[in-house]
Amino acid sequence: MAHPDQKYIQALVSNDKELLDELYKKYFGKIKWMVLKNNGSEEDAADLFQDALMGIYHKAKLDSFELTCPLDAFLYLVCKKKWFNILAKRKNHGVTNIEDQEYSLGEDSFGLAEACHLQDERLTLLQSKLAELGESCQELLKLSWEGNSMEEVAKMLDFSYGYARKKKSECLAKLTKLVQSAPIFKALKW
Amino acid sequence: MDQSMIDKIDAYVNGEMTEKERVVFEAELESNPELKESFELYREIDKSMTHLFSRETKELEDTLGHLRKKYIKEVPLQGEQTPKEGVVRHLEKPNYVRLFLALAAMFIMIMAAYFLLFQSTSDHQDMAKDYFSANFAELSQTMGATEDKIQNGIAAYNQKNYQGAKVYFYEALESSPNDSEAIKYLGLTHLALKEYDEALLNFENLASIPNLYINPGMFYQALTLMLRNETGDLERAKGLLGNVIANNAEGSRQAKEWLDKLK
Repeated sequence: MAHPDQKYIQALVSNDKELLDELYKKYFGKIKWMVLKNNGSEEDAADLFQDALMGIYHKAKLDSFELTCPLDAFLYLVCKKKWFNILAKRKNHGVTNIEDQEYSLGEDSFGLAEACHLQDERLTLLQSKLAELGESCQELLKLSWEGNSMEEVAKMLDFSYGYARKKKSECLAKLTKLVQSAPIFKALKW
Repeated sequence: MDQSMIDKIDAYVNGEMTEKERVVFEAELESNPELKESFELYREIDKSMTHLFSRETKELEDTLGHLRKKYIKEVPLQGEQTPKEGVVRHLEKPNYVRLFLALAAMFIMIMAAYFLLFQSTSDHQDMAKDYFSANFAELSQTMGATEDKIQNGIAAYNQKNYQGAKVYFYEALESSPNDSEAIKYLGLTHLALKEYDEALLNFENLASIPNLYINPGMFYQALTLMLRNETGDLERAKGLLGNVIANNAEGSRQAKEWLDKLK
């Protein structure tokens, strides 16, 4: 059964500003301290927190997201992992021993955190491969993904409808191929 | 995926195949796992990117960006105020006349804004500011704190390294969450940083600790509200000061003095 904090997940999905304000007020502080105590700045903490929330949102929208533990604990788990990775990349800091909070989390929460991480990695890969496509492909795909119908996209680019649609299929096929040939592809368990 | 396959996928996802073509295409997918995997990925990518570039996603990013600004208060750590790279800092030949005029204009504007906006409402804020500077510019090391983290926090506070102080007090609270000294100092550190909302939370926590011989929690809440000076804060502060006096709580003498002046 979903934890009562599932309401915050719903708030992310529906962009409920009031509840999201409450979420920040309640949970940002702890993440900020974790980062400040481990070689980071408030700016880092804010990036991390926003990133974690967007990750939860993407997972909830693209797949599903059922919180079975308090959001507090889940966010700490996700942010800790993210921060650990960032520190490992910033070579000027040794790997820090981020102390554990007294949370007892079930396996399902760790599984959910891992699923969020995979989802983030997939989206990152998609964005980086999109950037490798030619400009005309990028432009057409973005216009289509931004919610314009293919008729509208064709008009914007001064193409015939048939050509715009064919071009989209081709560009998307190219992108698919690029993604499939990325070394990390298999690890992302698409 | 060759061109003919791309054309087929395009027709399939747009519902433009005849029934017969559709059946043949689906059978082809079933018999060719590699093709099926590519096709599923193709659809998954389209779905993911449609989500990523959607207006909904952008609107959520805007909301979170706004909240981020609201909840992050950029206060540089003391001693780390190094100029950013690329900032040109040449001022060999300042134009003193222009500089003087600019400063004079700025001074006049600030004074005008001050008199127009705040003169009638900021007396209590000034009193609170004076009180804070007179009493909390430095914290006493002998205020009964024995824990190392608290002593370190006080030392950092006294060096005006408030961010560092916050970390020490926070750590002290992690090991003993109800330590009234740590709660009090953390609240005062927030006050020094003008983080009024967080200071209030700490002082509310402090006030709610039972059986504390000396508990300035309520008085400090009033002080914080007077400093914050938002709509309704003065009325709330007066109420709290009244309670401090009625309960003869810590700060009652000062509370009485302020309330007399605020009448």
